[in-house]
This record gives sequence, structure tokens and C-alpha cells, in this order.
Amino acid sequence: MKEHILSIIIFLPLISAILTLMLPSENKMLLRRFALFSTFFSLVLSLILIFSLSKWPADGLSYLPDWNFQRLEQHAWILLDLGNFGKLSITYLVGLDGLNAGMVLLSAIVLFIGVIASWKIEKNLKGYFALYFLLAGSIYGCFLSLDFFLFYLFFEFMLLPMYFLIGLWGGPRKEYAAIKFFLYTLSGSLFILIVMIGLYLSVIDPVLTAVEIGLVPDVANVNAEHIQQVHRQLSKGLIPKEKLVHTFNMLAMMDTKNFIPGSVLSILGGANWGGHSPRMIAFLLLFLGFIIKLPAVPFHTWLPDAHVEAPTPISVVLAGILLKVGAYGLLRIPLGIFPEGIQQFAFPIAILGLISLIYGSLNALAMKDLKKLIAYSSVAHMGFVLLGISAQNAEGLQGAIYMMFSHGLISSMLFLIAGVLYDRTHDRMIASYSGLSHRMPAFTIMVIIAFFASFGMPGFAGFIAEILVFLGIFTVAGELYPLWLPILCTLGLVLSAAYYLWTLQRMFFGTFWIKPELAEASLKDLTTREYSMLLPLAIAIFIFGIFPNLFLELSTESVNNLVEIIQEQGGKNLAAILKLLGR
Amino acid sequence: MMELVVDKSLLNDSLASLKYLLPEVILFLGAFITLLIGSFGKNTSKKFLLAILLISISLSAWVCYSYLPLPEKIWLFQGQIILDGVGIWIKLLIMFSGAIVSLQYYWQKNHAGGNAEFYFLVLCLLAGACLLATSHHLLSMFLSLELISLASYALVAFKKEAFSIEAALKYFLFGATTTAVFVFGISLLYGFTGSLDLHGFDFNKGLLMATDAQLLFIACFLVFAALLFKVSIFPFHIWTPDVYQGASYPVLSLLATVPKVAGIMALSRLYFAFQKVSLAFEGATVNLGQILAILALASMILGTFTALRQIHFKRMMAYSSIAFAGFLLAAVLQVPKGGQDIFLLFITTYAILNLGVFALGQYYFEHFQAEIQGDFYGLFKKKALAGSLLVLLMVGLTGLPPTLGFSSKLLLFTGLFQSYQGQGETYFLWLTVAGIFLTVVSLYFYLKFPYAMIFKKIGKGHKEKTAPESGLIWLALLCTILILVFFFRLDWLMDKINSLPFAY
Repeated sequence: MKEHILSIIIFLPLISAILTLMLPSENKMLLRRFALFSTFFSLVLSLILIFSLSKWPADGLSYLPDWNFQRLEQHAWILLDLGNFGKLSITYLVGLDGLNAGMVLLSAIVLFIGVIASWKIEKNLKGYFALYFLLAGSIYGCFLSLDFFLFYLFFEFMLLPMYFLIGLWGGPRKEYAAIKFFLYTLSGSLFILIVMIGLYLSVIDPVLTAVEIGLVPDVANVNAEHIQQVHRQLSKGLIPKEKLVHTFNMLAMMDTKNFIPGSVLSILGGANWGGHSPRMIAFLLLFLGFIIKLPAVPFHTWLPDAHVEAPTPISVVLAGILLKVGAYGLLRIPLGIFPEGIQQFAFPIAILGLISLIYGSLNALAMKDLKKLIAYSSVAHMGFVLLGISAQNAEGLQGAIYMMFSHGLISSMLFLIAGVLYDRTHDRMIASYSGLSHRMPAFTIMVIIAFFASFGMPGFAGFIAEILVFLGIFTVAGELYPLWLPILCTLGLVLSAAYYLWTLQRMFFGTFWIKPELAEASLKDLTTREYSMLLPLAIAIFIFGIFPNLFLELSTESVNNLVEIIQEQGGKNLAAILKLLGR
Repeated sequence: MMELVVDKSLLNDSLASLKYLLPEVILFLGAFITLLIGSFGKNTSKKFLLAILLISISLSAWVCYSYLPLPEKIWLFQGQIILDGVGIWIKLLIMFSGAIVSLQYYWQKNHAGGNAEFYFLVLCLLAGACLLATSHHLLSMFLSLELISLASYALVAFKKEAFSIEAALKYFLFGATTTAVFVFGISLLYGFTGSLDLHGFDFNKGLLMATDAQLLFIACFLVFAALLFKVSIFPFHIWTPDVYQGASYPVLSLLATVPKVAGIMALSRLYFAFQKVSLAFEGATVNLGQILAILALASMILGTFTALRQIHFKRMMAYSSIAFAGFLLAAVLQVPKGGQDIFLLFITTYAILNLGVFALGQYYFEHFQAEIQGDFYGLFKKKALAGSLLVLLMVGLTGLPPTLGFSSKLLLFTGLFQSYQGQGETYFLWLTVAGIFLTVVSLYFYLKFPYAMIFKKIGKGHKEKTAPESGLIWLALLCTILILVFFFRLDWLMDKINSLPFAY
């Protein structure tokens, strides 16, 4: 079981989806309990996984000797013979390292809380939980897969359950929001598809190729020596075309030696497309694909619609996890495979981050609907992720990852808060309420925790993330971009404090008043169920705010590896590309 | 190149060739038996006729399959017909489609008219398609094309409603015109080369020696036009929506798969023979590939964007098939670059998806009279299984994972991009890029019907017939399972395709 724990984490929700379909649809309590049990089990599994990391030595796989994976699992899946084009290998390759460990934990927490938040859903519960589990499985799959094909499969497949969950259980404009979400993210993923095709045409699997050209009898015996031999023969063009095993393996793609000389994305003998390098174009396409999912301004317009129309638990999953899929994809794929791209485009990316931050915050300030306000605050926080990535040093990347994690917890809590209010009165307008703290004191405390955490008050998880990002961007200011950029970013902090505090003041403080049409009697304080979903999140936000090392430990090593790749490999690649382009 | 040389003398050659024509012969025999039974035994049960049909199809498919493994290719009847791995695969695909279609007809409610005639026409059409897929001579191509056409005109009119008669007439008039054009093209080519044998020495020499390049180019295009018409490529697509709408579902299912599969196969053989024909025009050379690429691009764009506005199920599928025809033509273009396997995979996916979708369409039509978008409102609740199948099939048509539609589109884009890299012809790049982006647009209309079924409430004018569950749902289920299984085990399908000897 130890060897297969990653697969169990991916497939447990998928199996649960099938089991859910077999349960009787009249027995709603059973369905809920089953869902709760299954997600709790996933949570336990991921906790076991995280806490036992150091105890299980990493098993070496010969693709990236320097990169430490905590767990890796690889199975042959499809090996196609495409005649004179060569062979094509798709493997089932999942692995855990510092980049995705935190994301798996976050998903497990948020998905569990999401089931508690779904308790009040009555309409077609069976279908709801089946789709919820499909979504959960593809989320885990997306975070864990290290094969591009597998990643893309989960990345795309995530859209379908999400589309139905928004479109069927959502608010008044659900259909519009669902199709908008689908079309936006699908167009994003097509940019990724283009690069995926280019990549697998260019990259070979050194291990399988070694077997194919007869260096070793089988995969198990391949060692570093053979890989070097393959690289040598490849660079000299000694391997015939039909013996090359093309691959979707992301680890192979991260090593430039695996690129076939003269192929479209190769550095050696790379192409020059009218003064542009295909590698740079590929980086930009991937970047574009992932920032649509992230989302960054100007591709963010699907987000407020989807968040506002989705039912509370789905908003929670959407903001808590799905946005992070975009951010995680950015870290793993464009940064890992085309490290020179981030060096080249650091400044524009930082500008994009700044715009997202400021524009998102200003929008949040103007929103009349509490849920929309929270949605725009997500856009602003994702701006921080972009800023951290653009800094491309350990602090910045750590900050970006920490922001993904902390924003996952905080935004989940925020959407739950909006849901609590909406459940009671069916009205989320800020102007409909005043002085709620008199009627709902416990609720108000939760709101204060979430709001303060979100605008980065010290002591909460959000603070650590923001401080790391700022450390990162101030360190490189003057080098990668002018100093005014990080200074302007601090304006984002002020704005976020402004919209949260102003909302707090308008809705919760002052004399008690609500819009006369709303049922005043329904404004009871938190129920046990609501405590059970808000409290754990609040505690986690505190813990990760006070002991950041708990999380940073997980990611440090991989982040350092990534920084190394960006700095060294990226520098080398960039020099080679610029030389090729004759600049 | 291993070629099985069949005995030189004419008679012996024909006799020896007959052995390899057995699948077609079986189909014709089946056709005559059904016709005889239909004329003499007026009260023969439907089941009996279906049994004869299925037996002849499966026997024929079995014989076809038994030819494998095959030396690279076998010439039959002095090169009139070529038997090769690609042809056998296409034939098997045609048989599969034929079997599904006959079952669709068998489960159809309220036939107008005789069963025997229908089965007779289907068998004739299948035989014609098998011949077309393997013919390598312009004359045999013409004959088999005519066989398909005549059978399909009759089949479209089979519903005997005003609308379908109109559709059949349109189809007939357009079809007759293109036939004339085809014959004209053939006669011009004969004038140039003195031969009609695509692989023959005289023919190729004639093409190379032709003095009037412009006329030769026109002649080639005229020959292509008839096949482009069959596959409904722009600008020869005009018949498609009306004929699709007018035909009954089994006929539609048949027309969307069998003639198109055979036609695109013949097209690929023609393109293989003519790929070097080019035309110098005001200093620039235009080759046939460029023209076809433009037509493919136009079909994709036109089909996709027109489908966006369709609310009738059959018309939407008609425009979808026009867009698909563009993709198929793109797949043909990369065949000479070594992409036969990708071409076969794409065509197989297309056939399976369409068969499944039309079986479901018929299911909805029979149970709910559902044809336009409004009729589909809220039907998911009534039939969850059928609804889920429709979602999966539509996702497959769009080309998203986890369906075979995704794998085949992925490999098609690969093949196109690979061809671009190999020869540097820019039209391959355009086809790749357009293909990828049209996928997003196509999502919008493919999801239209699932969307109406799932998200909308049942309307007032809802008509439900209490039809008993028929086998149609099983047909759709079979197709869906195929596209799912082959996504996860693409190697099962590709290994089979790759084991075929490739030749043109």
C-alpha cells in the first residue's frame, strides 16, 4: 500500500463516485455520510502521506537525478508505434515533491470541508456527490501527475463535473456562468495542448529509448551510464528516427538533453520563427493557458460569474483549489520546462501581477455583493502569486506557494461565510445589513478572523505569504524590474485592508438593521455544522500563520531545485537562444 | 516491395481475382436473396430478413478478415482493384457500420414500406462502398461510386414523406451533376494519358508529360469533385443539411458513415496518385495539396460556425459532419507523409462516434419525438443513461478526453505538424492551428443538446410516447464503450492498425 498511496489518493474519489451512484437516492443521510466518510479518509491518507515523508526514502528514477521526489509511481500505459515517426510513450507517472505536497493537503482539507458545506443541498443529491467525487479525483490527479498527457487528461476532465455542478446547483444565472467558465478554461487548455504536441514531438524518453536501441534488455536495468550514452548518440543524430521513443514525461522534458536536435522546441539546432524562438512562444502559450485558469486580469471575467453563481461548497472548491491548479501548473510546467522564459519575461509578468492585484482590489472595493467582493479579492491574491513567480528566487517562489496554500484556506472560509449569510436570508448585498455583530457575535468573530487573515494581518497564514512575496520582489527590484513596481504593490495591501475593513464596518458594526423584506428571525448565530466547517479552517489559518515552517519545510527543497533550474539552466538556454536568433 | 503477381493470362487472372472479391460477392448474394424473399414471400418476418442481412455482413467481414496477414498488396483484375491492409480495415469499418445501421432500422418504429427493399439497398450500398474503398482505377471507381449513389438516393426517399422526397430529389440532382463532372474529368484524363489505371506506367507518364498544365489541373479537380461531394466538403456540401434532415435515422446513420468512409478512402488513393500535379500560375506554383487544404480549412470553418446556429438535431449534426469532413480531408493530406495509421484512426473514430450519436438521436425521436432543441428540455431526468451517453458522445465529437475523439485529434494534429516540419508546407501549420481553435468553438454547439436536456425544465408541449425500451440504447452504449475503452487502451486499436500492411 505504501508504494501505491498516491494512486489510492487519486482513485479513492473516483471509486467513491461509482459507489455513490449505487447507493439509494432516497436515503439522503446515507449519501451525505458516505461522502463525509470518503473525504475524511482522503484527508487522513494525505496527512499520513505528509507526515511520513521523511521516513520514506525517495526511490530514484533516472530522469532528473538532482530533483528529489518523495514518492514516485510509474506504470507503462500506452506505447504506440507510429511508423517512421517513431514510438510514442504515455506512462502513468505520479509523484510527490515539495511543489505539490502542500496542494494535496490543501485539496484534502477543502474537499472535506466542502462536503460539510454541502449538507443543506437537497436537490438530486446522488448526482451532486457523484460529480463532486469526479471533480475531487481529477483535482488530485492533476496535482500529482508528472506525465503531461495524464496531467492534461485530468486538467480537462475537471471541467465537465465543474460545468454541471455550477450549471445545475447554482444561482439564478447559473447556465450563463457555467458555459462561460467552460469556454474560458477550455480555450486556455487548448494553448496548453498546442505546446503539449510540440513538446512530445521534440522530447524522447531516454530510458525507453535505451531499451529500444538495444543498450539494455529492459527498463529495470537502465542506469545513468546508459542515459548518458543515449544523450550522446542523440546529440550526434545517431539514433534512427523510428527508434526514438517520444514521451509525455514531464521529468524528461525538464532535461534539455532529451530534446531531439533540430526538433521544434529543441535548443540544439532550434528553429528561428521570424526572429522568435519557438521555445519562447511555447512558454508564452503555456503561460497564457494557465493564467486563464489562475485567473489574471484580463482573463479573469469568468471568475466572478462562476463564483457568484456556484453553490457555496462549489465556490469553496473553486476558489480553494481550482485556482491553485492554474498556479501549480505555472510552477510545474512553464517554469520547469522553459526556465529561460521566466528570465526573459519577468518584468511583463510582474506587471501583469501588479495589474491583477490593483485592479482586483479596486473592483472588490466597488462591489455591492459580498460574494463578488470575495471573488475579486481572489483575483487580487492571485496577482501576488504572479508577482512571487516573477521574482524567480527562493523567497518569491516560496511566497507564491505559500500564497496558494493560505489563500486556499482563507478563501474557502470567506466563501463559507458568504454562504452562512445567504442560507439565512437569501441576500448577499452588503447594503442590506448593518450591525450584525449584535445578533451573530460568534459569526462576526469568524468573519473578522477570515478578513484579517486575507488582508495579511501578522499572525495569520496570509501574512507569511505576503511577506515572502514582498521579500522576493524587493530583493530583485533594480535587477529584474524597477523599484517602483514592488512599492506600487504595497498599495495592494492597503487596498485590501480598505475593502475588508470597510465591509466589516458596514455590515457588522453600528446599530443593528437589516433590509425590511428579509426575515429577521432567521438571523441566528452559527450552528454546530457551521462551526465544524469554519473552526478547523480558522485553526489551520492560525497554525500556519504562527508556524510557517510546518509548510515551508515541505516545499523548501523542491523550490531550491526549481530556482537552480531557473537560474542555471534558464541562463544557459537563454544565452543559446539569443545566439541562435542572432541577437 | 513484395507483390503477389497474379497469373498473366486474362482469364486466369480474373478467376484468381474472384477469390479475393468474395466479401463483395457475399454481400451481393445477400442482397439478391433479400430481394427475392421480399418479392415472393410478402409476409416474411422482419427478424428473418435481419438474420439474412447480418449473416451476410458478418460472413463477408469474416472472409475479409481472413485475408490477413496479407503480402503488401494484391492487384486484382489487371489493377482495377487493389487489396491492401488499409482497404481491409476500411471494409471492416463499413461492415460494422452496416450492421449497426440495420439494427437501427430493425428497432425503428412505424416503417413506411417494405423491409426487404431497405435491406437490399443497404447491402448494395455496402458492396459498392467496399468496392470503392479498394478500387484503384478510375473506371471501377466510377462504377462503385454510382452503385453507392443510386442506392442512397433511393434510401433517402424511403421515408415517403414530402420532405424526404424533396431531399432525395435534391441529392439526386446534385449527385447526377457531379457524376457528369466526374465522367468529364475522367475523359480529359484519358485524353492526356490514354489510361485510367492510377498506378499504371502509362498513366503516370501521361501526367508527367502533359503539356497543358492548366487543363490537367482542371481535369484532376473535376475527378476530385465527385468524391468531395460524397464526403460533403465545401463547396460541395450544400446537399448535406437537407438530406440529413429529410432522411430517417437509420438512413442518416448509413449516409453519414459508409459513403463517407469509402469516399474519403478513395480520395486518399486519388490524392496519392495525383499529389505531384501542380500548376504554375503567374509565377507561383499551386499544387493540388494546397487547393485541398484550402477546401478542408473552409469546410472546418464553415461547418463549425454554421452549426452554432442550428437548433435541429439532424441539421446540427449535418454541419458537424461538414466540419469533420474538413478534418478528414486534412488527414488525407498527411497520408503521403506517412500518416496512414493516423488517417485510419481518425476515420474509425468518426464512424463510431456518428453511429452512436445517430442511434441516440433515433432513440430520442422515438421516445419523445425530440428533434429540435426545445424538445430536449429536461429529458435527462427521464432517461439518465441515454442522457449520459449523449454527453459522452458529444464530448467525444468535440475531441475532449477521456474519449477516443481526443486521442485521434491529438494524433491528427501531430501528423499535420510533423508533415509541416518535414516538408515545410505552411498549409499544414494552418490546418493544425485552425483545427485546435475550432475545437473550442465546436464545444458550444456539441454541448447544446446535453445542455438543453440537463439544464432546462421540461416544456409544455412535451410529447412522450410510451414506446417500450428498444435495443437502440445498446447500440449507443456499445459505441460509447468503444470510444472510452480505446481512449484508455489506444494501443489496442493502434497495434491492430499498425499490423496491417500499408500500401497505396
